[in-house]
Amino acid sequence: MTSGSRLTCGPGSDPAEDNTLTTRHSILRLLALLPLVVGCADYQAEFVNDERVAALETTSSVAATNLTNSLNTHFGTPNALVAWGALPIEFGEISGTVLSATGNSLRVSLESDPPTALNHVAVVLETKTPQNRMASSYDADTRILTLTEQEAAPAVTPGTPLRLIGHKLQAGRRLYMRHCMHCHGVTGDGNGPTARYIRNHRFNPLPRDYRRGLFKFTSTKNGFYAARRDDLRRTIKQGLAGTYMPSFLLLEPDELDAIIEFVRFLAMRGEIERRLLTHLAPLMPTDDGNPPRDLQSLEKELAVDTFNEALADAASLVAENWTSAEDPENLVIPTTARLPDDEKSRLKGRNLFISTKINCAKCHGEGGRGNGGFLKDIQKNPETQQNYPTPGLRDAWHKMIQPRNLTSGIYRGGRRPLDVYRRVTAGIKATPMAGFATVPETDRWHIVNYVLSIPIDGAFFDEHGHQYHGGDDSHADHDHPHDHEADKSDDKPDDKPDDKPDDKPDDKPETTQPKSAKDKK
Amino acid sequence: MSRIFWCLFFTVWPIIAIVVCAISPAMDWAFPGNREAATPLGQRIDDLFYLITGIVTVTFIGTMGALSYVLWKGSKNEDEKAWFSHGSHNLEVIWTIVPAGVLLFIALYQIDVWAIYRVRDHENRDVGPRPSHLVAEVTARQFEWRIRYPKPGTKFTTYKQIKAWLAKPHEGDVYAVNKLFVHLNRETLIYLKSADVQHAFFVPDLRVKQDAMPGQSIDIWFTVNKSGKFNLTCAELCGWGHYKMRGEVEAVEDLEAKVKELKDLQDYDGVTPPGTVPAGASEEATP
Repeated sequence: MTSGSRLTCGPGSDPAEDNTLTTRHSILRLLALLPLVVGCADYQAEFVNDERVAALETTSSVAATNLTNSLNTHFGTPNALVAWGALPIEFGEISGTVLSATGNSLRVSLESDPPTALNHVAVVLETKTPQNRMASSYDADTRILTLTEQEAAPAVTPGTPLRLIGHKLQAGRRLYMRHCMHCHGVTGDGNGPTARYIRNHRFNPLPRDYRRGLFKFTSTKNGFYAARRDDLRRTIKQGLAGTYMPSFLLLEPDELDAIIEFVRFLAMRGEIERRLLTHLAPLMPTDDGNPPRDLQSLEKELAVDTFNEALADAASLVAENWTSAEDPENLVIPTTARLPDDEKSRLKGRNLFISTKINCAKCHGEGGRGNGGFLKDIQKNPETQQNYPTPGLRDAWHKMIQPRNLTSGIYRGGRRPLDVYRRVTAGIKATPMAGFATVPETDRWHIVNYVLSIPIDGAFFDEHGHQYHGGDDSHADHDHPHDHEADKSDDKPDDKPDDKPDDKPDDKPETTQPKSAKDKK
Repeated sequence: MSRIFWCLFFTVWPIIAIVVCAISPAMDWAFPGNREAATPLGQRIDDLFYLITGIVTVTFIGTMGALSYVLWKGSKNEDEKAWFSHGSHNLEVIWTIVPAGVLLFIALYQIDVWAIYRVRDHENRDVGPRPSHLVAEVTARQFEWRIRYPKPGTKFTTYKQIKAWLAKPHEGDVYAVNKLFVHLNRETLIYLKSADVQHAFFVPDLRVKQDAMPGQSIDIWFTVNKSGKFNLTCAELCGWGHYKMRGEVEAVEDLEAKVKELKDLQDYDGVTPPGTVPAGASEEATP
């Protein structure tokens, strides 16, 4: 207890006392200080800029600053969110009246109970500009809330009606940080701390980057990229089977609602950032890294004169997109009921599946294993119009993806006939899976019946309309030996390299179809 | 001074043990489910646990009491010099045979519970769960529970049929995630699988815990005799999202009707109202 190295740099330590301090004491003291350093402070999260903002900064700092500032003004920071009325988000609104305003605190009486704590809320007095305030105390019994502010509270007479906005967004942020952030990131860029573990597999879809406003499994018509709240709710509640997105079924309904609003908030923030970057694109450094010519005049025009206009345009476009996604008009819903799921219907579906008109087999393969011939083609990057270095299908985030293996029985967007109908009709957004809304509805139902039957009975039919499955002889008719041959070659395509019935029909459309496939996208 | 310290040190522990044992019922330091398991077997597991806790407590208090007595007596003894001992053969025999006897007793006494919990089925199919009790296949994966029920009304009569059903998807299967419905007051048979790494199916209220191994279908069976919802957790650290694997087990009187309801939702085509399910059923009701 008497020997030991001295602690010479202990924070706030008294040198006279230090002479008698031993290592053990120092460690204990340091441990006592630990919560001060790591535990007690509210973690200050930050929204991350798009990567291109850094490049923009090198040529035009005015533009970069304007962009960052306007995002901060209209969306705030993760710890102090801003509810921007231009966006179709349910921020959570409670009305009340002012009881008294003294010094820098405001006592208000609320009309209804907020479901969650009110930390930072925007306060709207009558029709004035919203002000962000901190709630210092709330009495649930009397529904009286005290709000504080740095400066003195504005002079208001008691009885003034007011609205508190943002409690739902706050709750959404808290839940998002707990359940979603570690994959999807603080900014919703799909780059959270655990995203790297998902990234390491070639075909694992990455955590969704919301910033493009693109969501794969939606029920909106082809062309309406935004997702409905119900689509996000379905994905959060049921998870995406076959991916790392787990189910959050047991969250309370109001918790789900709050998370959904926050995800929409992040998506809209990212979309507006993206649109502003497109507006400022002429200011970006050219390919050789030099600033563009006539930077000065461009800067004045784009980053100063027309910037606010561009921001308003972006906001209204994004708002319209998300609002129209909720419009029942744009919901994909069949007009006729599902056709009876019998062998005849499945056979029709099978024939459509391999037909040149719809040609699902081009990507999903003759046997529905997601190994169609189109995968061997080199695709173009839609943004740069350059070919990708390796063959294979890519999604909008340039991530290699595989057409669904329909024999696995896993349906990421849901297994209800309605869900599969929606995938066939509107496609999967942001992927090469096109929608086939132009195909007659009965045909689409045939395809649905067929697709849903593949995991159970296999993908093939004989000429009598009987499905058969490699190795399973329950349907195999021994009078037709050729059936068995086809069986085997389907089940073990690698057995004999020469005998690949899958590839032949796949190769044909490959040469005739790629153009139309891109058109459909 | 230091003698007294050590005497007190070893005296304090048995006293704390007695106090803790005495107050624990009042403090509700007991098993989940308000001290009552929701399965009869769980109740027997609890009884076993309390028995063993009792034996251990008595042993602990006895040995610590003896130790503090010896210390106390020795610390007072200033006259006699310490002497070297080779030990007592009789004492050695006693404290070997007595604990061995206690262990043997526990080993024999618990056999029945363990047999019912994990083994008896394999010895004698007539006593264990019958194939007709099959409720679902539960597949643990990072980080959720995927559930598959056989088509409502399916009656399995042999284990071969179950094996065939487990091997691949079948017509009319009903799918769910994270929420498992089981029989109330009837035996439930579940097959547990893992899609990736090792997980463990743990329902504290039912005292059911079983590892899910990749590549295996492991059968578990239990009879829930209390209605209600019970938390399902993963009890094997399975990755960074281990804590996310929260599920729920609900015991219902008429399981077949419940699964039929799920199936109706799953068969929804957007036009025909889903069978027995009230109109306006949620859009996102099925995986």
